[in-house]
Amino acid sequence: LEAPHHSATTASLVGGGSGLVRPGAISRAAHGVLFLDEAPEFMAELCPEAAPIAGGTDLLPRIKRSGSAPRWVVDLRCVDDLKYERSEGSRVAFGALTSISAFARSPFLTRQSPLMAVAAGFLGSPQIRNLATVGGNICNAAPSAEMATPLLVLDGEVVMRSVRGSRTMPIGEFFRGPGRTALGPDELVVGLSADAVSPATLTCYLRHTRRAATDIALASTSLRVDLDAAGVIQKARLAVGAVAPTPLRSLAAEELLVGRELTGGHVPRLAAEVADLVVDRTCSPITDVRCTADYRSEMTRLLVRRALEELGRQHVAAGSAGGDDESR
Amino acid sequence: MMSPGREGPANHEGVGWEGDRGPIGVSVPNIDAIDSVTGRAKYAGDVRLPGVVYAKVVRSPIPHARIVGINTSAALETGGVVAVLTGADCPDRGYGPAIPDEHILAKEKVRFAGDEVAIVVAVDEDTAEEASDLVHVEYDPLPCLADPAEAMEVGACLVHGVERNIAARIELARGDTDEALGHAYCITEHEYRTPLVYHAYIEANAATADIDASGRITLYTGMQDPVAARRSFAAALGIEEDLLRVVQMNVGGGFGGKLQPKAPLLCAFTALRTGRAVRLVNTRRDDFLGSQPRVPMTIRVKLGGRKDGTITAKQLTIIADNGAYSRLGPGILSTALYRIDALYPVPNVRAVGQLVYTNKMPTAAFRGFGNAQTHFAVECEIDEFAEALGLDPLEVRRKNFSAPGSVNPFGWQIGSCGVEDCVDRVASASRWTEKRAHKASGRGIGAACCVHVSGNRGAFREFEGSSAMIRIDRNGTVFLFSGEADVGQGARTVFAQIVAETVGVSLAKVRVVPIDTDTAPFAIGTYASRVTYVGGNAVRDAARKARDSMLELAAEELDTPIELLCVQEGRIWNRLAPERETSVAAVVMANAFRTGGQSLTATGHFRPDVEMPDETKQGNISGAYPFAAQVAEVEVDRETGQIKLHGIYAAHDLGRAINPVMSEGQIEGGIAQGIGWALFEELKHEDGHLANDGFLDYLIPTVLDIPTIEISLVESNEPTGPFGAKALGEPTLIPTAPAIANAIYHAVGVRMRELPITSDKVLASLRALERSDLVEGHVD
Repeated sequence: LEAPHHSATTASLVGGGSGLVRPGAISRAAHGVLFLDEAPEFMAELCPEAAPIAGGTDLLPRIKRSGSAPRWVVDLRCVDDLKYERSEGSRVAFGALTSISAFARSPFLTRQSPLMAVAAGFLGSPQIRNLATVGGNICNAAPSAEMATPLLVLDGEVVMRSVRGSRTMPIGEFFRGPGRTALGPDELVVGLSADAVSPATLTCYLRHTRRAATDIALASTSLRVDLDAAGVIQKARLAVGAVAPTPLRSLAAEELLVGRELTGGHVPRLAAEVADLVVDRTCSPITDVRCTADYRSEMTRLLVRRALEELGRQHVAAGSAGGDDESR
Repeated sequence: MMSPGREGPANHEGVGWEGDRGPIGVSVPNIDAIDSVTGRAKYAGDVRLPGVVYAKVVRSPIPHARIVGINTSAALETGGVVAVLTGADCPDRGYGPAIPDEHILAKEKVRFAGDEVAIVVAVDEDTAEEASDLVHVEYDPLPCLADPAEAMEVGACLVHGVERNIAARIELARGDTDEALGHAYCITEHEYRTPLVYHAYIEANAATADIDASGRITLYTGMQDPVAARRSFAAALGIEEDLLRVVQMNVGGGFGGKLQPKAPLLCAFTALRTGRAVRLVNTRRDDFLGSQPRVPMTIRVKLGGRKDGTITAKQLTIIADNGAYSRLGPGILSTALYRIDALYPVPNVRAVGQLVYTNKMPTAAFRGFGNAQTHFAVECEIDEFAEALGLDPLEVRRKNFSAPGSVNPFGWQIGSCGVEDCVDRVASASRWTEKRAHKASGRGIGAACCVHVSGNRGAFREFEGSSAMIRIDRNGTVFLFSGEADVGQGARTVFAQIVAETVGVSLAKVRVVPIDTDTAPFAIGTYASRVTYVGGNAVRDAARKARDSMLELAAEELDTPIELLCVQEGRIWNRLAPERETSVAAVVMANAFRTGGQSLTATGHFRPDVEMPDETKQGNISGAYPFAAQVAEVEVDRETGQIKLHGIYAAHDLGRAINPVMSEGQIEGGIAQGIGWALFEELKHEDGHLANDGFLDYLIPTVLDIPTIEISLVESNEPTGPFGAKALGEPTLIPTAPAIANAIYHAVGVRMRELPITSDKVLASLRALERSDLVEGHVD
């Protein structure tokens, strides 16, 4: 926006030592936004020719690939107000700029949201995880986005902000198609929230990739069930990735699960039944250079089945450990 | 008997000037390691000349089309654009090592999506990039020939005007295959397919070309054969060879892909036409599209033999996908047809191969040079043959191996051969017998062997051999000049070790001079795993001659008979009177002061005892043959088809390990690349367009995909090799894919005959097997 001469001093940038710090000027001089308040103003002024940048792990490859860059890039990396993690009742809230590696590293997040931590551990490579942010992962809206299915099953919500104000939306409504979201051209995702872990909640994240690391999932699934004292499923959430235009929940499978038990020998049959339902009712995969649609469906069927069997094992383990949630 | 590697010159026998004191057989660190890992090493992309202009290649978006017209005016009108070059600016005469079917820029036709149509030259990279979109090419599309089967159909559109698009057909035979098959107790026959794969070196091709007032070009780049490429490039450019000087930068991997790659030629061409210093650096996408990947082959193998596992007849039928231009295709096809006969000298063989043009990028050399493709097919088929006979696959191999000192049906003189030893070592390390007999569910173990060459007579038409120069400076520094390139494999370090050992100085006193064609001896380059054996022998010869001259001077100075002199770590002394001593530096300096400052110089050379194959392929292609055996242990997930590798056991007969740790490193790298070929890698085309033109979807293995690798170095001591050494580079990759495929079969009973063996293919095969088992169950 403004390119100060490379010899400009700090004093000259903040107003010649007048003592009046003018935030916009500092942000401009820093080539990046520093304060959350002003971020939407940049977007309002510059959209639709502006793209926000956080980790840049999606935006920069896209620019390189297409050979064309947005006219403006609004650099959010210095906005400290987008970096937070806190409890909000039974929910956990985190800023859009929370790095993917933070989910695996932050003691608070790993404790409060182990499902997100597991999924985060699979995203890209260590270098990419250090740069990439949860907000960016969601806004990029890849059908295979690593953080999407965990947020879907944890009843995640997205907080968006523009000069017109703030709004909050369930993550399921946020995704609109491959690379498309409900975000307005002048809006920014500023934060997210999700259910925190509770002793009655069991979760599992599984994915299938072509190689052991740094690969995009051919299929992925997140599963979460809340059990009552008798071990009956009170609430179920099941989401799948990479098999539809957006990551999405399988409402039919969730309905089937509620009221069922996760004990005894019937888990395998239940798992198979749920897996078939997910594939029949929820999946509409494509064939591409990575694999065929059929293989994606088959892997989804398998991952859903394995996820439910895993929860069955977790439940048994929790029972034998005296009800403590030591199953992870 | 004295081991051949320790033999000194005849007149100094017993003195032990070489092979028992210096760094041969010692794992000294790569002499370039610290510069490489600290970012100090300079690569072609690091060269920045003042006033340089930037070249951007305009590529065809269409796989096959006639060029109706090219309108460059919009691009030329862009501010900052210096020139736009097209096919009209190129020599009319085509070029190519075997078939001159290629032009620097496309003339009249484009033959693959990515074919180079024009070059935009501008004062900066962005301008060149933007203006490249303004070059308007009008195309008249032609049918796209996606694979050889389609291209060979009668009436198919012709890529180059040759009948049925067959660029080359090679047929060779020994013995009477039909008769031997008629008498065979057991015959098996299957078809195998290998894919189009990219070398995935870490450094994409880059070059900077400077040009002086006389029109002489200096090309800064990194290639496998900078000296030989200079000659080919000059011919392609239509200029005298002297008008092109090549300065070799560090190379970030080649694997065959940097044998005369296109990018440096385009760069030199642009400098020639514009008279400006030009920089051309491939983006990774450019490097994928402008690559020269491995020749894909469909290989039908028929084996016939006796009840005891002796193979009496072998028949190979190969269809090779040449891509749009020939480059090294004919030689690669020839290699695929009969090199494996040096591993199993089957008396009755017939091999027929056809090299077919298609509308994909031109193919060329890739670690193994056609031999890897055939090994995948034959090493799998031998397991089929063994199973049909109820024999252990390693036992069948042992029955058919070449013996040391034998001559194969094509006249190849095998010399040293440690393949039996290789098999013993991998069998014992992997607990082969036990694991073959008692296998855990879903787990399996498989093996494959390999033979290769140490240089390939015929790849370079005029000769096989190498030469080197030594200059010992007055302060005792030994400079080595060789034209054979280090592309990351460590040739410079191995050469330095040979020089230090032979001359008798410490490694730190040896400088391997970077290749510059103005000073380097002529050399045919780094391919056919030839550098340590052929180049190393030449280096050793030069070093011996330098040492002998130096010792003559020392003998004079110390007034001592030359045969009583010892030289070590730069010190020279009389072994009967150790107080009579001097040093390399002192001797050379004294001589310099007597002779007007002259350095002590020597030249040496090596020509292996080879014979150019005749038209029936009778000859002896290499001076020494390396062997190997590898065992893979896998686990197959029956529900996903995913392969988990539990270990690779590798034994390589490399003659002698001049640097054991670097040898092991090369084996680990080759196996990793072999795992990529076996399980992950394939350039996929959709409607003639490359669908995975980057590392997002062109998957190479990560470190987490590589299992524990247990290595055994088999030192068979090749009598003609430098200190007993022969080749290692390519054999490291060759057995990996068939060993994995054989292990998968042992694990779950599915025979994967097409690479890469991806999990979706394995799952489909497992499902098909389950269905056929069910059907058979009903019949019973």
